[in-house]
Amino acid sequence: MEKEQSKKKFELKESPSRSSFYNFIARFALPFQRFKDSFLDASLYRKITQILNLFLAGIGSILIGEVEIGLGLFAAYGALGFLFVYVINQLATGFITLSVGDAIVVLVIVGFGFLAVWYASFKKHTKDNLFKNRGEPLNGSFIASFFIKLAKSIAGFIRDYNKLDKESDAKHKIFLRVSWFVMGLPLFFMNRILNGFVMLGLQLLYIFYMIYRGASDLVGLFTLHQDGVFSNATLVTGIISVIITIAFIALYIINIRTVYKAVDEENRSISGPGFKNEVKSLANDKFYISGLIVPVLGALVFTIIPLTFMILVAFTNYSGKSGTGGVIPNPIADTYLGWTGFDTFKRLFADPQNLRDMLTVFSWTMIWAILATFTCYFGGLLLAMLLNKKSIKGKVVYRSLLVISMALPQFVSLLVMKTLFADNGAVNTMLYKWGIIQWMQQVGWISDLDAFVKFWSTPALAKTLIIIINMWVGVPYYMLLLSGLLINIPGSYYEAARIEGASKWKQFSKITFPYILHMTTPALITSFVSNINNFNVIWFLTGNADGVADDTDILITWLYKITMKGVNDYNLGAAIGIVMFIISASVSLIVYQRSSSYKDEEAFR
Amino acid sequence: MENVKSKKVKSRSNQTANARWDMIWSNALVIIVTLLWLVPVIWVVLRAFGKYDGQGYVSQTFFPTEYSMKNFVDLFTYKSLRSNPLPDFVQWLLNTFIIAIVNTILTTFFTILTAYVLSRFRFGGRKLMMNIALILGMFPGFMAMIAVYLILNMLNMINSIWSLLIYYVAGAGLGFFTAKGYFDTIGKELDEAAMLDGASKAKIFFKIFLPLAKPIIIYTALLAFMAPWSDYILAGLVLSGNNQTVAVGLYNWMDVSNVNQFFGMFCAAAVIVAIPTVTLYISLQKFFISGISAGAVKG
Repeated sequence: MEKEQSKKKFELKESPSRSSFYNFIARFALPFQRFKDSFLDASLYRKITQILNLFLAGIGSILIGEVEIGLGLFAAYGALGFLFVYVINQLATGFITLSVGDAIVVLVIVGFGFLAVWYASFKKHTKDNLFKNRGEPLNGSFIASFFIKLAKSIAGFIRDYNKLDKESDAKHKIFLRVSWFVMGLPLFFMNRILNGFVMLGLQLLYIFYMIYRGASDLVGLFTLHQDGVFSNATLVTGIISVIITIAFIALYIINIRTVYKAVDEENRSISGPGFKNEVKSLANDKFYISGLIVPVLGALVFTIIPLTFMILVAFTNYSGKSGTGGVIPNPIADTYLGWTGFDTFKRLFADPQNLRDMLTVFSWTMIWAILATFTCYFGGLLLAMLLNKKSIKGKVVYRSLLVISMALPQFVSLLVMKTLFADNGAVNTMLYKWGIIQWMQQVGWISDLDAFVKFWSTPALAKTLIIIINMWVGVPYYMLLLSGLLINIPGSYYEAARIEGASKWKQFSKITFPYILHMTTPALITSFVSNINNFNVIWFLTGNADGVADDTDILITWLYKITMKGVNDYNLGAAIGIVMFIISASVSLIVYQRSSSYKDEEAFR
Repeated sequence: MENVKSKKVKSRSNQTANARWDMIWSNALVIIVTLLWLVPVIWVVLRAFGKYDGQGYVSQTFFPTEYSMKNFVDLFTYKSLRSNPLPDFVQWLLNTFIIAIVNTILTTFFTILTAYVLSRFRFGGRKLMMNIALILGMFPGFMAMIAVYLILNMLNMINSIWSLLIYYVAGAGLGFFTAKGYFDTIGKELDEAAMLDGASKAKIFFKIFLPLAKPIIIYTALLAFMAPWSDYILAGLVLSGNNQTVAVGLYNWMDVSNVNQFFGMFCAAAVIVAIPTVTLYISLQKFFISGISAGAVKG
């Protein structure tokens, strides 16, 4: 190590004495410095993968066995690269027209994403090669290792099972056989009545369900056609039947294992717990079963099934918009849905109107999410610091008054804000009274025909207002969160800084801000993601039922418009929903992977 | 006392001048900011207590020219249909209150229970469940509303406030992250000691964790109580006619075609609706802070 460092004097090195910007650059440049080592010491095969990886990010990782990460990176790299070229091409040929600002934002975000993916892939592959050069093994493919592990454990179980079968007496041999066909029945004879009863009952229920409707529901999922039934309902019942079947298969495996365990224990002359103890253990070491059953069922029925429905709808022709070839199911008119594969996604990307709408809406969504998060964060920080000053008396009063804007139900406060800035609303009336409107007419900012500022119908003005009003709603939240944190910063830091003669600004930028930022990075990211999905602020301020993407619409309100209001373009909405999911999921995934609280759950114990 | 202080300070008069200046401007700034924050609120309250002129939200003056309680009287007597058993707003308020209170109890219970189980038990599939919950949170929720509507329809619950309640409570388990983070910080010694005394896990939850988790319970309960007041999408989809929640009912009042008739009543309604929520927030501020810090701040 020593030698290496002395050899390369130009090498950037992180150090606490340097500025954080310098350290950031140093960290960023690290893979580039390491690349030479990782390349020169590698075998010929890995040299080729490294060169390939420079052009096709992710391919190199796939070739050296990091399959999933490589595939993910390659997919992201390809998709973003394609999108970048596609958008430029569409713009250049005049297929779609975007405003300059929107075009720049879209291209910058997509281009930045593209470069970021390339960098991530480069970094990972360089690191992997360094590991390999040192002879250390890599993680390898997760999925492959998962299946290998699974296969091993199944083989092990079968071996044990056969062994147990040989060792058992005739009675227990029959028990083991019976459990293959009748779930839980043998448990009745081994002092596990409750367990047996639940298993047997569920099997009977499943058989009854499959005969009664499950089988036809399952078929309905593929045909989407059950005479006299709305196709969308067929889709839901089909999903339900699939989920019930999966649950049944899982239960069947648990049944085999439970009977195996019971027989094994009987062979070692340990008797079953008995009904009373079984019930008791539900409140003790099996408490997780009784505790989670309601939440899990609830999530299954009202979150997982609906979301699966939404994803599937994107692949059907479920749409009420004319000219899309879509269908609104109605058995009386003999119309049923059908599967259409990726047609909806084609419609989203190849139709100039849809593509243009999506790109403009996407650009504003990103700007909105970034601005909304940062204005509220810094507004809250400033306010919290102001309120933390010793010289301010009656802090509790101020804080309570400021909290009002957060405590009001959003539809009340936002609708009020909407009316305040309406064309003939209070603000315009005041401006007129004070002569500002007349002055603006003279200057020529507003036409003589209007006696008001069109706050909501001038896009730039409306967007600015939305950000400001969002601050009104969101700043108190951060104020509360951050003022709690500010108090926790050890006072000794500031004392030391004061002795050193650090200015107020230095104290803020070197102590307060890094501390606060470090503590709240996860909160910032979650708030960024939730701002991407911030329906209320946009909808209550500028929502309308015209079914068209307006300038102030973000993805989620646009989605709401084209599905619930105006045109019932469900499959396009679902496709947009999937695109949105990919955006927020990739942001969140990066963050949760890095958040130490997720990694070290046990750290506090 | 005063004298001594001032003498001491005199020697560093420059600094005191600075400090006084600092005090003046920071106090002034706080007052200005707070006023700015309150202007819209005050405006609504004034409109509620002012005499409504039927001109929608057009108001010529900040302060109303004449004060009256008529808006409130109207609010509590107006029936859109003669046959309605209760005045519209009373019906909405009642619906929302029932949903909010039952939701508070059930959602809080299930959220805390899920958090406790996921924090304290280790069982197969636990990590998987947590990851699924995380992923589910990233979907734009209301995209699934069509399917939720269809399911509620199958359960024959359309146009009943219980359908909203079922939906809210069903989602309770997925909101465990904040509370789980809080429980993870509670040392395991506590459970172990209780277990040595022969307490069952269920007993530990009810007798030890619930009392300990007071701040996080209050935080969860506060959010659960607030949810029905702001939910517009599902309530607007599932409920119809006069059987509404305040959010949907009042939103419709503010529709362009209705606003002239209802604006005065809307302001009065806003004041009424704000009373419980603002009271709760202000009085439970302390718990709210500890809740958001536990949820948002992970080092």
